[in-house]
Amino acid sequence: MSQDKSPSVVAVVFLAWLIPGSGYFMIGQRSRGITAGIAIVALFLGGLLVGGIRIADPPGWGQYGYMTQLVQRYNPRSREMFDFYTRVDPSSAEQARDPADDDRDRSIGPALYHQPQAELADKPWYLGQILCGPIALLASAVSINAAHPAAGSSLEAWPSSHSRSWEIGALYTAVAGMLNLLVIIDSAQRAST
Amino acid sequence: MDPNSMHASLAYMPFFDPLPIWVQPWLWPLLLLPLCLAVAIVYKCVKCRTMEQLPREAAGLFITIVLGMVLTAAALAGLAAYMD
Repeated sequence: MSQDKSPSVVAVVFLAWLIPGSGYFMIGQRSRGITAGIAIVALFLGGLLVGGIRIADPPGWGQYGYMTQLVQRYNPRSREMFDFYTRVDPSSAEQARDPADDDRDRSIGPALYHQPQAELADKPWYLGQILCGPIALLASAVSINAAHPAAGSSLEAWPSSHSRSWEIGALYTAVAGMLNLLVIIDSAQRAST
Repeated sequence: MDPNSMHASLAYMPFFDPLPIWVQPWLWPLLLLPLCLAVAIVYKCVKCRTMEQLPREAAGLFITIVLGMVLTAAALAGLAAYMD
């Protein structure tokens, strides 16, 4: 009885996402994996270089690097709560902990947990970026930290780029993720045959 | 190192600040080239049977994409000029 030593497709897909190009490595196509991996990571880093770290802008986090919150406001005229939620982009850690303006306002919680689709629809390019794997998560973590206002300032430590810098940076990083998806699918297909 | 304190120097920091390419506006179109190159290489990594074929195939695709973009841009610029 022969033993099947080929790696499982699931393992190939997961590793290919974890390290771009490594799916080919698992099936023994090393030069293909190195070439694709370097091209994808270089394009992602090129996007960060052109647009700055704030290009990595994960859904659910606001301009100042704190999780956007949902608040149900109190309507003093009708003396009832509004029947809709207000999205609050906190500018400080204190406001992120307690986003309510009024004692009668009701804090619902992070917008990402309660309306993830709306948050994702607000920043769809992140879907492409996240396909690059943990490098996108790492860039997002650094970006969130870099967005926090400096001590004694109300401005972001590193503001987001804008105009062409932002567009090209977002394009590079999102296309890098899309190319990694292509590589993931191809390595999985090669692993299955 | 705390990024907030680093930024206090206001010096350009690669990967944190955007690339100051706006000082030379003619450089913007050149940013097309790395993108096309990466797309050509990765696409041909997927399509080529052997990696020996890759440099030639990727170079061909790269040139095709760039020429296509340049011709499209020229056609659109001509159309815009005609419409004006």
